[in-house]
Amino acid sequence: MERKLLEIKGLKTYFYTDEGVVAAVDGVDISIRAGETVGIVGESGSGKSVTSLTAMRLTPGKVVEGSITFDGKEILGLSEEEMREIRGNEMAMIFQEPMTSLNPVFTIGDQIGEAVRIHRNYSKAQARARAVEMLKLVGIPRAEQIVDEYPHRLSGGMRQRVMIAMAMACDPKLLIADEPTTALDVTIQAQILDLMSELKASKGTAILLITHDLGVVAEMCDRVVVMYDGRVVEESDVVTLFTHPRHPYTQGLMKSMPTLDSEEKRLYSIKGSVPAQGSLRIGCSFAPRCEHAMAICREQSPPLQEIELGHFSRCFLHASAEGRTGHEPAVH
Amino acid sequence: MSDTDVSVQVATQAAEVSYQRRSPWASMLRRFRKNKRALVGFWMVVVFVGIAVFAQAIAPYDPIEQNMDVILQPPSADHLFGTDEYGRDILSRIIYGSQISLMIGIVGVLISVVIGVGLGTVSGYFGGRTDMFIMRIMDIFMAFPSFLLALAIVSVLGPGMVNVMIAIGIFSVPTFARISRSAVISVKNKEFIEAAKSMGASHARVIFKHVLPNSVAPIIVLSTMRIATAILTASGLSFLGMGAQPPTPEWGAMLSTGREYLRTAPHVSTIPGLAIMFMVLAFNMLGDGLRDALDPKMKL
Amino acid sequence: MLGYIAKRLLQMIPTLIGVSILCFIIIHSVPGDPANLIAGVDATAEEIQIVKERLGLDRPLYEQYGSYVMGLLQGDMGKSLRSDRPVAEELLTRFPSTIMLTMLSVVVMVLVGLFAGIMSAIRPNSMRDNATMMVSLFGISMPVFWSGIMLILVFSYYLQWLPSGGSTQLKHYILPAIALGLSSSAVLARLTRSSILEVIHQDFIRTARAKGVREKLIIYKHTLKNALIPIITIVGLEFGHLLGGAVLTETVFSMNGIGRYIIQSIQFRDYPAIQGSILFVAAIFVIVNLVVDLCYGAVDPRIRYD
Repeated sequence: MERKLLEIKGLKTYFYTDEGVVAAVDGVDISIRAGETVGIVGESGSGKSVTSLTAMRLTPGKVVEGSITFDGKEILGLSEEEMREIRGNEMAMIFQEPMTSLNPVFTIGDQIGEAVRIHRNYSKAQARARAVEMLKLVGIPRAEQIVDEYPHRLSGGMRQRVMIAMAMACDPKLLIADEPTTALDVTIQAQILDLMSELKASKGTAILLITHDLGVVAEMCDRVVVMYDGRVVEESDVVTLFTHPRHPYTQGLMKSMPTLDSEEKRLYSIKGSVPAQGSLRIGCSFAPRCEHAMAICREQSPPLQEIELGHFSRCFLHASAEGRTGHEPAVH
Repeated sequence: MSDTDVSVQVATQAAEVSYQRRSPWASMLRRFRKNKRALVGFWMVVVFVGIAVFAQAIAPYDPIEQNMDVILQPPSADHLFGTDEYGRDILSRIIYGSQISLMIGIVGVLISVVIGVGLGTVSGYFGGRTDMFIMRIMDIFMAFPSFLLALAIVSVLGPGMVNVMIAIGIFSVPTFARISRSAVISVKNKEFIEAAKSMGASHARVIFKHVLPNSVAPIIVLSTMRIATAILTASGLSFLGMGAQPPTPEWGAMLSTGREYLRTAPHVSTIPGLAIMFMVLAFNMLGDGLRDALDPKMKL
Repeated sequence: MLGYIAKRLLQMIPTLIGVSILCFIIIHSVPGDPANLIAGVDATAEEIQIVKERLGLDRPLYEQYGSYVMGLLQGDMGKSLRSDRPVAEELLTRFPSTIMLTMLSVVVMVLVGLFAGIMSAIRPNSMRDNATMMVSLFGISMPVFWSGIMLILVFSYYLQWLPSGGSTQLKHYILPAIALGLSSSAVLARLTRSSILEVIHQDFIRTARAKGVREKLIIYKHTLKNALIPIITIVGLEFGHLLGGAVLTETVFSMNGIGRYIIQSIQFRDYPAIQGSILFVAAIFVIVNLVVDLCYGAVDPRIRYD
């Protein structure tokens, strides 16, 4: 087995607000091998973005417990200076909003070249050349001109390409992509995803892809982690997850996906909504919305179990006689 | 219409009213109470108003009566803030002076609120040429450095308290006109305004019932801050001899005469300056706090 | 760019016309007849008539305004009643002193205000931030004539480091510029702080952090350049306050500038001088606003001049 590039263990990130403590991430384990693409899926408020920001040590919240090792180093123990050397260099990140994620008062070239100037001590000219090279790599036409333009002259899709160029400038080992396509038009989404796949293939970069879109997961990922209310509820390889989802929440997500051959007129939707963060967790936090909820679900919190090799789920259904009796979900 | 329908309607209306009235003001009050600086400002204003109202009872001496036996004395037990060049008790003059500063500040700002909000509302509500015309004139007023505008007005009207109030009133008009104009424009095209218009409400009714209440918050905040500016400007005019005339115990004028004795009796000009500063500070702190409580994002 | 400047200069004309009309109206709305005031309370009817004719006050208002504007276009602001010399000439001899004072005050304002604002914004709600913001509240509330007097008291009388008045040498300008600049620097500090805090929560700052940019550069490069737009605006507006404040400061420090000239003219009821100098200062302020507009373009690439 390949060594793990990023390993998050028992991570708890809490926010201390005036209204009380919010456990945004509450005991999460995720690992990524070199060159692998792992998706984190969940609704907004499930803690997936906070998890990824914590991996970069950019979260405004406080890490209460857990460990994050990156490339063999425990990064939660690094000094800010050491962490800064990893950011944008070995571990880079792109964000959801390409319209607001670029600094409006600096040129595209300045912003792409900044990473290599910081991490590789490139001269101004070298950084500019690198920026042009990166712009070409991400498929931006007229790269020599665009490099001196300001972000407001570019469309959203182009800006997201610039963001990718910026993140890839130092050839990072891990690229964290937080909802990279959510804010874009459907056709542009596909182009950006294709670009990421190409880059992954040519550079061997591992990708941690945060999304709420199962279609994106199906297209991009090797393995998937499903998060709900600050915890991992299911994890498996992508094929298994789509063919045999085991957690009722994942099953709900699958059912709510539109399919072409669907005869139903209305899309399925999971009742209720993600519980307000900070509310006390007694029992399984999905129980109030779960069709299969049992008495025990409201009293105890289910553990994350390996139900098959490499397939984990956090549900009491699997504990009771393999849980397959009456509840085997019919997908498709 | 049956009885139940009516009662349901009344109940929903009542619920709407209480939702609109109570909840934002209650949360505002809560935020205001949590803001230490605002509370200090509030109580300082209360103290100054108290001093002004009860000046006669508090002041140990007559503010105008001269006593040539005790001229230019430094602070002592008899005269806490010392005496001035005519042997008048500075503490008593400061106490009476608070009446003048407060009055000029508040009346001056009231004048500008009435004129400014009036012009701004008309401008924003009717738009078009009216708007163009009014705002152009406001722009011209804004082209003058504000202190200079006040000075020019007083120089023509002649020195005196009433004229200072008028000058102060005029120089804040453009600020109020702008802020109320933008507040009006931001609500003008909202659905509830359209609804009121379509139900045949007159312009006056729409303005007073629906548009103005929505610009109350920024106007309150701006008024508080402008009182601070007004007091500062008025004291500057008096310092130049354009404001209250002797022997009126006006702080700026006291400071001005005290300059002559700066080497021998610095307290004569120091103390009135402190008084001005603390009163202005009180209104600035209160204004800051109100802004943070009403709408932290307000650009004032 | 040149086209834009030309366009803006053209746009200044209506404002300047408005300003001149307003000045004219203010001066001519003197209760009673200006000629009475000028000639003095105990003047005879003939004396008043002579004054009227001399100043053209017997002609209709629009004619008076017309000849005034014609004069202005030729650089003629009329003659001072006090000295009988051309107002324009008197203003020009005093202009360098006032512009020197205002410029030095701008330097004080920008240095102190930017520094204090940045220091506050780096650690919001810290002791340092609260203390700085409290001090700047005091600064805003302080009458500029009083702070000038206090500076004289300390630095001229007690320490005897600097002169208390005059306007011939650079050392004469130090205390007045500090007095005048500090009150505006308090305004600037507050605005700098709030603009930085507004920018620092934007997405692109997170992007910069994710790139591994050091915190110092995040503030001084990525944040500050974005925060400069409101900062430039306030510097322009404060310039107006400084021009107004110069009236008080020049009086306190006995400086021979336009500000004190205005006061002396008012005391003497020298209406041509009052009118001319107020118009002059307003024109400077209008030009400063134009310069501010041009500065936006240097900072914000989204603004285009065409």
